Parts: sequence; C-alpha cells; structure tokens
Amino acid sequence: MLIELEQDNLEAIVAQHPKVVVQYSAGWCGNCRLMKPKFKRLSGEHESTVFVIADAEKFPLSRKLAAVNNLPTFAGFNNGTLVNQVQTNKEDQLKNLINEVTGN
Amino acid sequence: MKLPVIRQIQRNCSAEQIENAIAVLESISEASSIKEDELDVIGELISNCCGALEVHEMVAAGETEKDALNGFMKKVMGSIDQ
Repeated sequence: MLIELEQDNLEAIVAQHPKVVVQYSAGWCGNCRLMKPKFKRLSGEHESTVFVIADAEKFPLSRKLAAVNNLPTFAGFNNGTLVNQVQTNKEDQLKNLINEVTGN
Repeated sequence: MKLPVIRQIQRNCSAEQIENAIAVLESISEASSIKEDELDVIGELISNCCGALEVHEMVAAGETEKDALNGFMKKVMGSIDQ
C-alpha cells in the first residue's frame, strides 16, 4: 500500500501498521524526484508493508519520527519502532532498508 | 544546491524551459547505463532547477529577486532538522 501524506499524521500511520517505510521528500529536492518512482514501484512489490511519502516541509511533526537532516531520507518502522534510516539516491540502499523492515 | 546557480538559471531561463530541462534530466536518470556519480550530478541539477522555478514563482508574485532567493533558502532549511 502506498500513502501520500495529506495531513501531519505519520505517527498514527506508524502506530496502526506493523511495517512502514517512509520517504521524506520536498518539492525542491532533485534526488527526491528521482527516487519517488522507484519508491512507488517497490511499494508494489511488498504488499504487507505500508509505504508513505511525507513532505518534510509541510509536515514537521511527521518529520520528528526520524532524523531528517538531509533529503531524501528513508525511514523504516517495525511495530512502531524506528528500525533504521538512510539518506540516499541509490535504489539498492533503499532495498536494503526495506529488507530490514520486512525481515527478508 | 547552490544559490548562484539557482540565480543564474532563474535569470536566463523561462519557467517553461526549466520544466522541460527537469523532464529531460529525469528521463536521463532512468537510463540503465547511468552510473551512481552521474545520478548524484543529475539530482543536484534538478534541485537547482526546482529552486529556480520556485524563485520564478515568488518573483512573479511580487517579491524582489533577492527576497525570493532568501525565501527559497529559508524554505529549504525549514524542510530539514538542523
């Protein structure tokens, strides 16, 4: 499942779903634009995991769930706990994070 | 992302030209032969183009170029934890 945040409620989504991977993005961020289609594609390959795209500028409370000091930041949550995070424009590194979350 | 580069793009290119450039760069990034360091450069170029687009919008809304550039950088810094 893929969700694009429309309100600052990532914390609730993370609490509701056992496996969540988040892409923190911003409209001005080139690497975010490059990673977004890859993130969307990967979301289709992991049906038991919720993939969330969060605008880091619009949703500062949601940003607080990870350490977002660069963009794009990808954060993985398992049962409400931050498992790991990575700041990258490399699909392989994103896949590694997803595998950490899904246990593959 | 570099303010002088954003200023250069904004001064010399229309919003339509910048949007076209972003589309071309995004298309190049999908090529299978693109290397990681090339992807880094493309991402940086797109960020500068996106910045120039936002400055265009702010100037069109009545801001001075200087205020628009500063406003954009403030927006960038407001998007991350410092």
